[in-house]
Amino acid sequence: MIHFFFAVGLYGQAKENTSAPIEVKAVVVTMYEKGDAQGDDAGELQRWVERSKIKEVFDFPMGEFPLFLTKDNVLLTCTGGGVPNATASIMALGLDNRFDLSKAYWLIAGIAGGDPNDLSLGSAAWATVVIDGDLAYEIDAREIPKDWPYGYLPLGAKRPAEKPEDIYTGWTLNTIVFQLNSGLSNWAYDKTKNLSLTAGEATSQFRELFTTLPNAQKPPFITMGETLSSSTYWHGKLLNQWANDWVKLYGGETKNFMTTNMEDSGTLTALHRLARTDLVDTDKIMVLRTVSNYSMPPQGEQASWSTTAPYPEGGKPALESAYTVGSRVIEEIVSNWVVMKDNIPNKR
Amino acid sequence: MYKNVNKILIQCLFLIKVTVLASQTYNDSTFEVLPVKVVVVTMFELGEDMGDRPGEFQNWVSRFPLNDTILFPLGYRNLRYNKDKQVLGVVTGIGTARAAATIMALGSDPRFDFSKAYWVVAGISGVDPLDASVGSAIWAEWIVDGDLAHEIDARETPKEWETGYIPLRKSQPFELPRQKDNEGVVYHLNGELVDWAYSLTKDLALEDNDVLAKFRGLYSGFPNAQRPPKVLKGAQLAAMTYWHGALMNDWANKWVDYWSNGQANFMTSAMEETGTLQSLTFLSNAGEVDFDRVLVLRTASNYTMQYEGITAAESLSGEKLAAGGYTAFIPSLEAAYVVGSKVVNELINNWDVYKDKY
Repeated sequence: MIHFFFAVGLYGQAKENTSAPIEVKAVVVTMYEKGDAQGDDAGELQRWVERSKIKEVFDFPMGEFPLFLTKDNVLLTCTGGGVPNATASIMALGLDNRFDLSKAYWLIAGIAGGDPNDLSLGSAAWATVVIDGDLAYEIDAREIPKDWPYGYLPLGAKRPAEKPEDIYTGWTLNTIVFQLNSGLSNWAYDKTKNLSLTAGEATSQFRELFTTLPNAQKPPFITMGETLSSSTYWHGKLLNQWANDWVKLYGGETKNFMTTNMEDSGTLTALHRLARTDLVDTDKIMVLRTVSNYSMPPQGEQASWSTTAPYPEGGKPALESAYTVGSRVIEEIVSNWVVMKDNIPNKR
Repeated sequence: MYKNVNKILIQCLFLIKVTVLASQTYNDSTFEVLPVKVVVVTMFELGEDMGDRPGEFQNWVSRFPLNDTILFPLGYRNLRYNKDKQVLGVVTGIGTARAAATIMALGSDPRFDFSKAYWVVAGISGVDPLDASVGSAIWAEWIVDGDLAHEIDARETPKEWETGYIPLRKSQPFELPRQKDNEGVVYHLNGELVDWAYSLTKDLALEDNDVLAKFRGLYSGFPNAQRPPKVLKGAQLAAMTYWHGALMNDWANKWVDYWSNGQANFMTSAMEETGTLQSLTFLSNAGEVDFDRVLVLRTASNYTMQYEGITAAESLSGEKLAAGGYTAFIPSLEAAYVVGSKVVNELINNWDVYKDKY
């Protein structure tokens, strides 16, 4: 028998901490920033830093950027790109004994690729599930059997999966599917669905290239849709089909792939670990992704061009949407903290 | 040394209660900070720590041995420790995300002092038949991530492209110049330490048997794949995507060559190290661990591509292999222990020498 009593889960990294930890109401997790976090061209983090009243800045050698605490006790962090980065620095943040994150809401808010079947540039999608897209077998598609749709298959499988039961293959990994608190996702969507998002002329010209896909041509809008997370920044019509199939296989038939990102399965891996000792509450996690680019080319164009073509307007509509939609939810949490601290909206 | 002061403070503030099995017991309100000379990092274990079908951890637990269990709720699996040898064993879980989470949790854990610790990653892997045979053991000085890339399904790429993988922020495969900030794609370990570990182990005899001989015999046209197992030095490609086949093997070689500026040759394919090394980098930046003391050993349980006459899909599924599946599974576990423990024993038996050496 192993006995283990974890009276208070806050054992953390060795940091000088002579005062009580700061009670954080929400953590805003961004993934990408250009240059510094202030005073230059703004990425995901900088919009939050420059538009919030910052009370304190903390050194954070376990991540790529310092941590920013707003006057409302909202903590702003930027993980840097990719699953390893996100996992390592969110784990470090969760163990940091300068902060008490046990009651905090987590808002992951960043830009992503968007499926043009569902979304347009600048649009925002709240997820109810995060699915990993790296943990798979892969064979280069030029040497797969003729009857395979693509070269990605579940770990341990002998061929690409067609039915949900095909994904249970002997490799038992619980870091592929992360169910979010869908009640909270619905609440966030409800609080933000009528916000107006904007995009400029270059964006509207680009979205009109998707002549056969009506959702891709719409002005930016807010919806609910699932996110696929992989360090591999895939692109193209064939892998877009794989992404749609993969999300349904792992998430369930009703789940629709809408955004593709490079960090969230890592962030969720860390948050679920941290929750084991009540350092965080996984029922308080929200994932918002906004569309900086499409996940496949417009009809008649090559993936080799569109995969690395500059984002229309430098991705600004998506960066703005992430802040506009995300900050609305943060305001709601901060202004209703007395209630929301211990009462999660739409509690399951 | 405010670190230790802080640890005492943490004890007073938070009353962590830890009870461990067998010989090591921590009382209710305090714990002794355990010194660690070496951390053995493995990636997976099947079933129990001992006494059943082994994974990477089991040889270390039962033979090294690592008798004491230390609870590790933030990890993937409980830790094991040998208090006389001051060696700690950890299992990260499969994939770079789990590895990054586990190693960050461990490196931040105030119950241990890692300031002088060496980190020896010892696990099994795929091996490039151009370079080595199953059952071989390979020390890596260079580790390159294989997930962090753009990718287009290869059937949808321009005809002249050799692969659908493109470096991030580039527009074609292997496009130069490389990004100065590789964003966590490349890790270069302490070459002096890696060479020392290789020299110490290069003449060790590794297990060989008829099954291995039969398996490697299938790889006609690949002379290095047909040699008996031996200890080598070569680069690792780390990716959560477990790729297989001749075309991706070609990509792996060129990808490692590209990211190492021609200084490294791809030999092993595994799923965790760039996660482990990302966390160790952050921990080293914060002064918690010493990144110059990291070693990475992988031993070959299978080849990364098919032999002539079968398809990549048949090879991956193991259906047409000599004895089905990973015929080198058990020998590769043995090689990881034999080679890895040689280095760990040298470090702890001559700690006066190595305490401040690297």
